[in-house]
Amino acid sequence: MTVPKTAWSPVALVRRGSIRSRRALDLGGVLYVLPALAFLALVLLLPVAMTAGLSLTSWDGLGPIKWVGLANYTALLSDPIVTTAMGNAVVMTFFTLAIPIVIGLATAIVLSRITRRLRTLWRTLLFLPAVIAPVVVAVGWRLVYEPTTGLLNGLLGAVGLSGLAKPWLGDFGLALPATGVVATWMEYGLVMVLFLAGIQRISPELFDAAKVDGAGLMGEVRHVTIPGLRYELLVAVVVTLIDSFRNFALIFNLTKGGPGNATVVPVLEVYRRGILHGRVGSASAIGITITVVLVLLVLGVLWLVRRRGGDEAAG
Amino acid sequence: MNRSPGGIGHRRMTVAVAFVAALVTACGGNQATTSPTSAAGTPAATAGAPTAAATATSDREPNCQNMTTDAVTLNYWDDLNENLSDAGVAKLDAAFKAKYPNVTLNRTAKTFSDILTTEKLQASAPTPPDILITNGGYALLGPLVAAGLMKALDDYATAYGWDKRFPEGINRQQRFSTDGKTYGTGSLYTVAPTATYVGLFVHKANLASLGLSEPKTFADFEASLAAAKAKGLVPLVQGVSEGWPAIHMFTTFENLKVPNDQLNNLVYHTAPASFDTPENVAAAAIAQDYGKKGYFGEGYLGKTAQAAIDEFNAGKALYFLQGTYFSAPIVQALGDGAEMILVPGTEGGPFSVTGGPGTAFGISSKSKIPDLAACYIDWRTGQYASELYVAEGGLPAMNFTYTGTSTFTKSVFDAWAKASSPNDAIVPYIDFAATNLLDFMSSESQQLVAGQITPQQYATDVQGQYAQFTP
Repeated sequence: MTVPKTAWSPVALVRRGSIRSRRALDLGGVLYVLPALAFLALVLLLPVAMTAGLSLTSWDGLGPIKWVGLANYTALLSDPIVTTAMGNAVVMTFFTLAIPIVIGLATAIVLSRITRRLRTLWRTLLFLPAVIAPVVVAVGWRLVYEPTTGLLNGLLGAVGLSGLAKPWLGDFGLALPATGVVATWMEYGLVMVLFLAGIQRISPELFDAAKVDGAGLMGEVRHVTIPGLRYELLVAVVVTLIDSFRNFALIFNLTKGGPGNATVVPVLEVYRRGILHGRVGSASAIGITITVVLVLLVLGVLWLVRRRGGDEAAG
Repeated sequence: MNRSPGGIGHRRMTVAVAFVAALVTACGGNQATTSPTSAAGTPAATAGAPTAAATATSDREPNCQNMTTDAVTLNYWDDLNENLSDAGVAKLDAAFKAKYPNVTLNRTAKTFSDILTTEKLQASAPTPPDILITNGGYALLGPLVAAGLMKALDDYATAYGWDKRFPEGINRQQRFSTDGKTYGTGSLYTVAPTATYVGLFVHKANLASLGLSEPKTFADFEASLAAAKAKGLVPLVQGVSEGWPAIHMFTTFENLKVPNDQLNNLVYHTAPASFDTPENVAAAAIAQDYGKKGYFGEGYLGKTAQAAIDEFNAGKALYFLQGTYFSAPIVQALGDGAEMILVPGTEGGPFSVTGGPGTAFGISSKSKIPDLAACYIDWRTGQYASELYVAEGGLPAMNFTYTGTSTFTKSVFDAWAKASSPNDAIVPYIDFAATNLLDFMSSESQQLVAGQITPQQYATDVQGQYAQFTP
């Protein structure tokens, strides 16, 4: 299966370099996108602008709004919970981005080498976690991790490893990795499907050529598969990076940030401050900070890939 | 602090439907004379004499004053877990509609955490529900009053006798100055159907198996914990993964270490008070010590309260330390095999009990039918509603004499009476003291019992958070 050249997809878009090229402004085209743009402004840009405005104020959500300038932002710098949340977000990136990409790549390579019928079956099964709503995932995994009646401790006990049984989500050291495992479970399916489509698009002659040159499986993966998946990899990194900051539903339903603040992440802190603590200004400041950090990270990734692409073109 | 009993919630959530407020058919609020029909459906022979009707009707049917005859819809919020069961509410609503067929009742039942997260937004909307159900103190009611979103209920309290129906200890926790700044005095803003307090659920068979009787002193209590641990029972089973239940692992001992006036000052802000005192640190040290000794059971930080209740009901624990808001799943499983007692204080030491009105009904200042709303609140907090609630094992907010045969329910009433008299030892849930305290103390208390922070650090941190709040 190959992706038609005319098809619009993030992969195709990046490949054709449309992101880079700034075509001459086509007024007719602008008119066509105007309704969508207006809608976008209403539901996205306006709320972001309002949040940015609120981040410069002190407001409890009901009473008068007081202008405080950048005080909310400077306070974040010395706020221990924000520091913890940002640190946890970095750890979650490992579980939501790095591990899923490794697992996704490995499963995609295996699936690309089995018969079509088996592949379809396994692809569907392995992709299932990615389509289940995060709330359902969290409720399910809470039952798995439950200390006394949970599936995991039950299994450990059944194979004589009850010494390893732990209160997974109630342990200050284990709660974050345990949450991370669930994030990985939810995320790898998307990456796998993305890579699988990419592998099937790579010209079979390249694999044949590698075989003729005496490359084993690892050689093929290293010299054919991974370079051929460069653009899929870019999309996977961007999507999982964004997801690693948008994990409110999972964390809220799994641990609510606990025990203590062991699994607090920035988005959860936005909710706690804005909705529960009556500190809308501080919550907005965190929200804006997350947005800025995320946009910078994504731009950084795009820039890196573009530079690499440029080097190769020049070389 | 409160309660959103996980397990009960799940159980009822599966059947409960949150009705969407859809129809507001009439402006209402008109002062037309009444033409009520009796519960049996026959027209009452009264016209324009609601007070006469009041004396003539029984407490088995609602009795509204200034009742409109227009077709109106009353939109009301209800507590999904902490109040009467859905079946009980349906019974009351059917009786209300039988007498006032012109009224459509539109119920939206919410969990406690749902109330906390959505109340401010809903109350400040252009058309909020006529009746709101809210948490007390500065945690939620205060900000709503300060923003002018709640109606003062003093006139209704006089008309319907609410000032006499409830103990003043209950009403006090629902009073605010009209600017929302002073708590505990001023106008009545809410009326609670239920009361709750924090105590000790005792597994009677397990206590007997240890050869012990109900502990009368703190030393007895501690001896029973040690005896239970030695016998392989969980002494004080807990499940605090939802956060808020962890607060009571501290406040229970705070009640026995910190003098009552200091606790009241903390909540009501009547005089300067601090969490960073030796007494609070001592209370925190007990909680941490019990955590170290393993008194709260295995993995209690990763377990829900419902999971702890299941363990307690299965006979694996001696005590379950939480409030009467968890009575239902315990009485359903153990019946009179359980009882409720108060944790005894030390000889001559401070003694108080955390408790007060449960989530309570108030009227939106934007409601166009406040008279009808007040009448409905009266119906939901009166004798008949309370009898239904008691039959379910609950504790009503009103002055109520229990005459039933359940020894469990009797123990709930007895302990409440002991806490209330002769010197009122009830202090409000500590999170009522400030808007930002409930959530903060939840995670802080988890860290305390797990030994992640010292008792002194706990006291300093909580005080730091408390000090950020100004009424």
